[in-house]
Amino acid sequence: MPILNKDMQVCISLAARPSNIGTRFHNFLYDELGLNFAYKAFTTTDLPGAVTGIRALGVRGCSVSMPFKEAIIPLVDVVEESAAAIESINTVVNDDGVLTASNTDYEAVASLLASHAVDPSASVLLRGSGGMAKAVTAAFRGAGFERLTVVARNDQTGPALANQYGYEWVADERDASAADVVVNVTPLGMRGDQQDTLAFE
Amino acid sequence: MFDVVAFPSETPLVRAGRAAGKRVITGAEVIALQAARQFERYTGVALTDDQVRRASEFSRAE
Repeated sequence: MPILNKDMQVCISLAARPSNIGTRFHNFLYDELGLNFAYKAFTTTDLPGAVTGIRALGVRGCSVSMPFKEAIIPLVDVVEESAAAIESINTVVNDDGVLTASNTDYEAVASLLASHAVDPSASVLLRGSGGMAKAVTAAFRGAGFERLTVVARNDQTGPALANQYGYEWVADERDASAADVVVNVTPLGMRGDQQDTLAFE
Repeated sequence: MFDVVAFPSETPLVRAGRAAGKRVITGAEVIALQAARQFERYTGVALTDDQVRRASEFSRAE
């Protein structure tokens, strides 16, 4: 990384519990490409204040993670069309004070479905109904998948997500039939508990 | 089998999928690609697949 200097462009991230992954990913590439940029993860208990800071200090970009992906939408100026449909964003770019939001989770999942050649005629079981699940579900619909079941205990966000894309919803995975593709968009796998819920066909 | 959980990316579900001979897409792939698209928006510089792969490996190496 170049020595910190007044002309350096700064990018940040906002998350309740930041990891170091984004900070390392972006700074590694700034260094490799010789870009006069720096990136640092932040948390905040004051989201409007953080966005005001982005504007006031000319922060170039802000990556947005849980739980801010939906709450930040009214605080930006422009939402790209694909992200507006998802109602969840993970990226804010600051162009001379105009904040434009987008959803690169959607783009990443769409390109992975294509590069792994996942067959759109496959049946899909998708666990979760949060901000990330919205982006993933939109990507499956965009890729032409017709048969997808959202599995979510939440009886508001679960059916709302399924209905938005013309898919089915069940609260309990035992009520879903076996699927060709299982997509996990819950933190269930993180700690390794509840392993019995991970069984799949 | 597609586990979007970002970290750790070798979840019990991913391990079970691999053991059962399923094709597996992990959260590590999702997080690297979404970060790459962010990087391109912030800097205006397009990344190669190799750059994304190496940045992803570095990002998870601690």
